[in-house]
Amino acid sequence: MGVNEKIRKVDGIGLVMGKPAYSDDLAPRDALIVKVLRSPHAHAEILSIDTSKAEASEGIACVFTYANVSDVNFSRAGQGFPEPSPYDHRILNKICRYIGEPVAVVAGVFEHQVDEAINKIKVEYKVLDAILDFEIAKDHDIKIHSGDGTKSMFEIGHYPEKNIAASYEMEIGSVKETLKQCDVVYEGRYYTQAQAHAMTEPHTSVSYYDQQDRLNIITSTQTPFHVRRIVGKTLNLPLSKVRVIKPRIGGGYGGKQAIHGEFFVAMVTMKTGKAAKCIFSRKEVFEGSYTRHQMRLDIKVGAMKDGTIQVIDMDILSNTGAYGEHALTVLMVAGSKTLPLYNKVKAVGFRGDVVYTNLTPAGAYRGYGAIQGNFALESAIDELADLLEIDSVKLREMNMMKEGETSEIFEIMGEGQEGTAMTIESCKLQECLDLCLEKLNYYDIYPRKQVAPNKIRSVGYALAMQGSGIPYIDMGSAIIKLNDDGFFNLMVGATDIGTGSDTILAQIAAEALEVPVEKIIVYSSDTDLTPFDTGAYASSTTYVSGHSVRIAAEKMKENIIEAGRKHFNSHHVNYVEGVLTCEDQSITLKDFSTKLFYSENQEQLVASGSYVGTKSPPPYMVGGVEIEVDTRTGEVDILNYVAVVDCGTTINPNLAKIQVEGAIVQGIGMTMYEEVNISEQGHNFNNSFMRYKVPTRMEIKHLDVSFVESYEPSGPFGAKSVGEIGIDTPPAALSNALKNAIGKRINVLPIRAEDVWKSIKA
Amino acid sequence: MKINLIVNHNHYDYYPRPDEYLIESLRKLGFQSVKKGCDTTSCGVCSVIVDGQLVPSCSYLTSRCDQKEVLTVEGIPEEARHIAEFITAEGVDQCGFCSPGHVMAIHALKLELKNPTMEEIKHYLAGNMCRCSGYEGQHRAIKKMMEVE
Amino acid sequence: MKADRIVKPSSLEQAYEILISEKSATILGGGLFLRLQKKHFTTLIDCSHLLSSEILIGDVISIGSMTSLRDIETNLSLPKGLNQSVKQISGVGVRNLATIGGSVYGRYPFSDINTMLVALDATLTFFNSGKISMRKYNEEGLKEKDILLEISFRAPQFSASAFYKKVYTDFSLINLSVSNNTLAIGARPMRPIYLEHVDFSKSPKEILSEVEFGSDFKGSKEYRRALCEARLEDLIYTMGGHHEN
Repeated sequence: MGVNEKIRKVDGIGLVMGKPAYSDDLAPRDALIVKVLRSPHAHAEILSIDTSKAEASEGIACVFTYANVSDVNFSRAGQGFPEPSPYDHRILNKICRYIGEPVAVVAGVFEHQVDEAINKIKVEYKVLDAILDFEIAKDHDIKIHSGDGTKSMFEIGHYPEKNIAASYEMEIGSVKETLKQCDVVYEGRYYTQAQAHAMTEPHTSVSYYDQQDRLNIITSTQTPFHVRRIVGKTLNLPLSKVRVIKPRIGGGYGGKQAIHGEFFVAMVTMKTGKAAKCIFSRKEVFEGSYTRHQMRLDIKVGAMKDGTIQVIDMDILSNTGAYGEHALTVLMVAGSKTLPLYNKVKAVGFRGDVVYTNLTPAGAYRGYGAIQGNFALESAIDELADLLEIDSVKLREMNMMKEGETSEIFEIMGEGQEGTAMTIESCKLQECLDLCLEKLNYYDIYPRKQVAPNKIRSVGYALAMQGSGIPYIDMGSAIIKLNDDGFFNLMVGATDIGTGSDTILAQIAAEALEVPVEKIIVYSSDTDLTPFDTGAYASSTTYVSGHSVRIAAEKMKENIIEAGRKHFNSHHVNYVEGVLTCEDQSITLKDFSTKLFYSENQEQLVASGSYVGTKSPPPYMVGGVEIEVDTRTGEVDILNYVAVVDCGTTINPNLAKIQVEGAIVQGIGMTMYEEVNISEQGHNFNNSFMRYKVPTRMEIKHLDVSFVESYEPSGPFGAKSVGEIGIDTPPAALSNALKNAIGKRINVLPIRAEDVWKSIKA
Repeated sequence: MKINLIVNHNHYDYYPRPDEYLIESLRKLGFQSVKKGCDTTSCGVCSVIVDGQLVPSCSYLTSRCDQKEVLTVEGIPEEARHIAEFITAEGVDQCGFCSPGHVMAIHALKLELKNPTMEEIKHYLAGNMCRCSGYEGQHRAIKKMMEVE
Repeated sequence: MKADRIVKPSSLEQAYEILISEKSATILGGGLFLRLQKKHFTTLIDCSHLLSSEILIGDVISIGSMTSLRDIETNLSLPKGLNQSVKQISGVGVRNLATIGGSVYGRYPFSDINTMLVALDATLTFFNSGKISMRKYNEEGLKEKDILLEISFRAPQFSASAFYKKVYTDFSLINLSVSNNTLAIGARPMRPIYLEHVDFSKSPKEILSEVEFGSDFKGSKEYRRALCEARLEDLIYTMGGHHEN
């Protein structure tokens, strides 16, 4: 009834027609305006801060600095509890560790009054030397977190005295010995940049006291339940006094997983009793939220002459900026969501340090770790094929993961902890590869075609895998209630951030309840009214939250049948597609539910379901690209990007397709256009959409996304995740295509036209 | 300074600050479809139509709108619904934050270009950024809606 | 940008009077770059009702300073190079607001249209300073603030414009414009310069040998030269000129 249907997003028409639905749209009209004074220095100590003139300024309600806010250490990462991220953050700090770090928070009636008041704050800074280059951060004389109460909740390899936020190491077999035995070894070094999320809605938080004097926070978050926990604990509020509502969100991609302005508005409301709202400027989004982790990846891949890959070793240096949100998890995922692609190896090594620098923190970002790891691994496999003089397709086919197989890595590496062993029950990599290469006319073009005196066409591709939630951690739940007239409310903690999860969860409920999707009214992400969910991250919503919806819906069906037995006074009751039957009698759900409330065996039917994954089945994908290179200038035209995806059942094929298309373009942006330029003082030049260039529609000539038939037995109606997988392949696929075009490997992202030009000339 | 601001055919006596931009005024007046995406006139999210022309409302001084006809998505409900039907049929609405500006740009395009090619359409909409969708689905929707060959 | 007041003067005389009597008064063009400035203005002077937004086509073409870049893009009676030069300046909405007067007055070195106007050897007409060549203005500016009324130039027989942008709507890393046998190059990243009596039968390398390029975080001078040579080669090719093959 609902699954595998291309139905419209339930909120789509309303949003496109501009209905008020986002955080700022829902803010009380009289909300105080909250703005933040931010550090102009990459590393500085606040010697004194005089806010008296600001406080006396017209329209100003309150001013906060490090001196009058809670000094509890916490992590704003917005992960499961206890977090695998260091507790190195405070609401406001005496030490500023990056340009953009909040120094003071000011609330007032009108925005221009707040701006004026901020200008009146006098801060005396002692400017400290800063670390801006992550490759020199480890063991540097400058200590970014020293004596500030920084701690970890459990062992995450956190060594603040060495500027290390987290570190990790593992080895299967003997990497050293196996490398020695290999006929051919490829070694390479790859760099990726601190990409910005660039969601169109800036981070926005609103707060007010309700009629029960409870703090209500409406916020653009991916993790309302984590927000409640972190804000409550840090501000010393019982969680019963906090309600967090996630309205519609204007894009997140991981950027709204952590806490941003929520503290600031909460403090203002608690202090003044008044409603407050904080909307980040675009500059604040760039400088004051967080980015993807910049990484340096050293990879070794060894193989025998026949093409059997024996060993893969990956050594990573990751830059977490000033604070360590997701430091460990991103690092681990760079291995755990890439290395199992080639599961026939004898040895695997993986280690890495995540270092602090005086730059904008890094945090969650769609495909985190995986996109960086994939760039190194899938580039390396192409390089290895060249060394072996074997067709890269054959090399991959020989070594890649197949259905029914496993990888030891699954058990050893999880996300911030040990992993979970699993056998891969659905893996259509071969089908994806075949179809992708066919659509790409790969063998017609490979390696290159000269199409004009200065123009070369070429193709390249990469394989990718992701996960579907974090086993034994990511939890979702759902409540379904039956209403008179025979429709249902579905309450889910799951967080729709524009992905369409409300819609696909309704589809899952409709499928299980055998009713049209219109009969399911979804309400999501309100800590008072919906059950718990860890939130929209780690590709968990369809697989984990979707599962909880299926369970709740199946229980509801049982409840309906049970109530039907009372109605018919018989055990032999059937429920099919919204009709209860007992021998030759039948009653529609519409009539039955109305009786249930008004005239017969009155009872409210409610069912709940919750789910924690016991495995994290990877979706797989092959992404291939055809490019045209101008050999005079290094300009790269992306003519066609072909993606073939195995995400199990597509609950909603339209929405799944757009998830992949959007992710590919974000990946293309990271690969080709999204430059991060930092000045010698640590200032980010590219802190606006004028300077930070995400792809426009003109860069996208053609996308071709399709799905192969696949069914994941452990997933809800056969589904795996689809939110992140699409972002992983562009770096390696484009780098491989360029190698095929110009014979040189570009190993630094983003691949600027100038870099290609230099490479051609060299 | 008092101005006569005409939004979606309704007249408002409005007293803008000299440095107030149209986006702020429109949101204050309750036209919440108008969204702010950046501070540098770079994203097209805040697009509205003033006197028949597509403009970024974040950069149009309200004081300069005296007697001008401002149109937001709220003012073209039938047209917006028509466009929304095509966009949502592709599932390309996604987070929806850029959608009202995108609808206004499509509306302006339809008023301005007769039988445009897909390249002309893409060029016209190039200033409207979308981070969710990857654009391709938008183009499928527009192609169907405008019956582009 | 902050402003204390905005005025709509009844005459250009009045506008000029306010402009020069207040240090922090400014004329509004489209107001786009003004918005990005961190300045506090005492007075914003809106002259849109007093200034022309008309394009007059003849042997001499004149364009009112309030003409929008979008009108310049779509007026096909204008030299083709001028149409091309504005085509990728941000999006349609911005081009509807942005004026040629604002672009010229600001002397923005990255401006695509200014490079074309340098190639066209345009003449600027100011309210107080009268006529001054675009090339001179571009180099030296004016001693005092003024009101730009009109941009005019002789219609060229041939014109073309090209640039390199990382993404479609970005600022140019390099731009170049041809008007008859004049070649102007801008976004070097320094202000546009021009070469006259260019012999387009020569190779781009030779033509550009004397042109100076600079480096910034967007690109090195060597790369700008390479881009410029390639773009010029393509322009010469479209002009029907020499080209290998």
